[in-house]
Amino acid sequence: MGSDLAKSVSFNDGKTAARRKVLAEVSGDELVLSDQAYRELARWPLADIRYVDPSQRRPPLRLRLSGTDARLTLDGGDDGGWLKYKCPNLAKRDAGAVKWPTWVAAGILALASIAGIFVFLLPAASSAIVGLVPPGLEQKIGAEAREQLLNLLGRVSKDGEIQICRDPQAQAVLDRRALELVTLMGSPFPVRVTVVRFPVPNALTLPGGEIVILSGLLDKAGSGDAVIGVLAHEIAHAVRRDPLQVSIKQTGAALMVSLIVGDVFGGTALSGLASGLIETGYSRDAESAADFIAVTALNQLGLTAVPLADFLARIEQETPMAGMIPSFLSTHPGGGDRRRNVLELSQGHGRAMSGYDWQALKGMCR
Amino acid sequence: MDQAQPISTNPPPPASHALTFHARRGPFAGLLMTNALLTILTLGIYRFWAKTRIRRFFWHNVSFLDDPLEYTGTGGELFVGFLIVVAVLFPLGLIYSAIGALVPPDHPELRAALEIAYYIVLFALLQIGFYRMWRYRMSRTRWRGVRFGLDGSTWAYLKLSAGWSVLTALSLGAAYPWMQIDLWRYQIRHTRLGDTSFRFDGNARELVSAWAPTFIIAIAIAATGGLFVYHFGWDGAGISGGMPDDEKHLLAGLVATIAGLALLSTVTFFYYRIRQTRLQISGIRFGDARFASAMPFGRLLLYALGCFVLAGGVVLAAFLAATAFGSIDQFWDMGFQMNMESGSLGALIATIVVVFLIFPLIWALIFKFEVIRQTVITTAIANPHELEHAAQTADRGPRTGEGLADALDIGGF
Repeated sequence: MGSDLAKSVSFNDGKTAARRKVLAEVSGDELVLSDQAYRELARWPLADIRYVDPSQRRPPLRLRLSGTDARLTLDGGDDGGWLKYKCPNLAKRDAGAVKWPTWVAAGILALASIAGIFVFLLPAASSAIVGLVPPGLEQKIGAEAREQLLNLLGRVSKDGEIQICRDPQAQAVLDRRALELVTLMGSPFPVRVTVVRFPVPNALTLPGGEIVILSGLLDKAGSGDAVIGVLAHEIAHAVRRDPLQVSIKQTGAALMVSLIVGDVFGGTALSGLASGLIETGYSRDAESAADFIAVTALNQLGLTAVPLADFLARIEQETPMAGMIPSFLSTHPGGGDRRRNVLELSQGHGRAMSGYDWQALKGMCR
Repeated sequence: MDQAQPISTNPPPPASHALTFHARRGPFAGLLMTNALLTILTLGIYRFWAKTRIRRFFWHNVSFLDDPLEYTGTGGELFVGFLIVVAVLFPLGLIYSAIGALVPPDHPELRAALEIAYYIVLFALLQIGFYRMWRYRMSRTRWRGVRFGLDGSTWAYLKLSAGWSVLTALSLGAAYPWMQIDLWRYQIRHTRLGDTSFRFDGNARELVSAWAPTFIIAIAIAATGGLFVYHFGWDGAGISGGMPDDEKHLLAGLVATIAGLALLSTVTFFYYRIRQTRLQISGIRFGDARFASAMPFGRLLLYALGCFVLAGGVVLAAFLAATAFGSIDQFWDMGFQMNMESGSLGALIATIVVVFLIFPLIWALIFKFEVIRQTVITTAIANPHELEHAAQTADRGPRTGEGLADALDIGGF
């Protein structure tokens, strides 16, 4: 009976870090450990013997007794064949120290925290930070953002470059109306309006009073009043410093997502992507506030806001591929409510420009 | 692997025993790859299990007196620790934002105070987090079945760290080695194997010559920066295209000086860190057992530089391949929307792959692996059999790991 031959193994009893040579042999369903004088030291039930490291199964074989601190190391030349096929649970792992209620509670708390951070904390913190940014600094940020936006639009255009439309008459109309609106709204910085040739109907407000109108908007607008209405809305965003707040909010969201995702292997880049998807554009509140400020200013100028309301509704209907437009171009998730509110507030009936000026504006990018 | 065993080439004193290291880069590379893949696929959640596998790999490959270290931590423990952190971060953040909302906007000094408070809290969390992390790791590390452990109080460590940070700042960085060694002394004196604590017997004076170059360079950078501010203002407002030529030359000179000094300081600081690690290990005592380290500087510097060269090569090869296949042009005719997608997405993916995937892999596989290897094989212990007297204690350590909440002693999970 070869299996009855005692093997020499190293034994740590789990009480001290001493190591002693002992004799081991399988007896029934137990491994019996005894010293050189055959005095019994311990009995290990075969079913409770485990690998110290299940991923490390080459000699020297290291074993432990489940639930104890004792360890057993076979000799380097011993492949353990005499023992390991008799131990049914060698690769089994002990139950973790963390119990399931802890997991569930921690998970719920974590989810609540994450939701709270995105819904309450980020908007509050970002508006607090906006108050700390001097208007002069915001203007610098805006000027840089304008350059980047023009470059980006250039790269995605078929021509490979962006064309800024320069028509003195049309630009003069825009500048005059912008100046009137800004003066009424009380802006921390001047506003610069740039019209570029780009076939998407939209207008973009960057930090620091930089407003870029895409010529697609002029094509779709239908009247000069609608263009000035949209301009008033964008200037209201600029005055409220919404663009800066959104960019700060996105930074915070990126931070948060990177905390969740971690910084291992691409986490940072992933978080940039994810936060872009989560926190894009102005909130509904910001949109309503901008509408209110815009219509109030239009009223004071005696101009009608009805074309703005119609235009908001039309843009929404005529953009079936809204989901395909890159999110940064689609900052105006309109809605029937917004249109109704604008109509209710609107008091003026004056036209924003002469028919002659409107022709010039419409044609400024052709 | 065996050429770098300086301990064995100089015959050690009879009763000295070197640590041995059996890990090879092949299995490590495989581990890194699977970890990277699974971490990406799980949007980062796998990282706790990834860390655990990496630790188990290294721990189990370090042996002393023929027996390896054993890592018994689990990814689940780390994950729960992390979940608790996220749950704690929220109320903290709410309090912060509430205070922020209450401060009137026309009081910049209150805003500044709030900012300072924020950084103080962050500093405290970092120190506490570090000490608790060490506690978790020690409690999950065994040798011959006997657990390591960490006593001492996180709060005392935080106070020590805060005091030294203030002193270091007041001394313009001159006290930095003393801070590092004193914090290490606290940490080591409270670390134990079983029931026996380690001691630390080292003096930061030995690091003065190693710290001096970095210290002097830092002062020089500050002085150059001061010159820049004096001429061009804090925000560089004095810089314009129409500057006279001598101002342009001055600007170029200042910028080049700062860049050159900064580059040089990374090397001198690297040297300092090696010397500091040597002292940190060489000062460790356990009963009559004495540790000694001969960590090499030149070899590790070479490995670090090698990583950058290799990463640069990968970027160059990728760029050449992309140019050769002309992958950009074919998208032009597929319509405007497609252009938008392909252009920005392609650049984004390339950046992710190179900066966040390839370089960290190279860095871990070549440099970090070598740092661990050298730290282990250049460490020897005189009177090693002292460690065999350590007796097991009942203290099993914290139940979850390394989260900041655990760091704050909140919840007691």
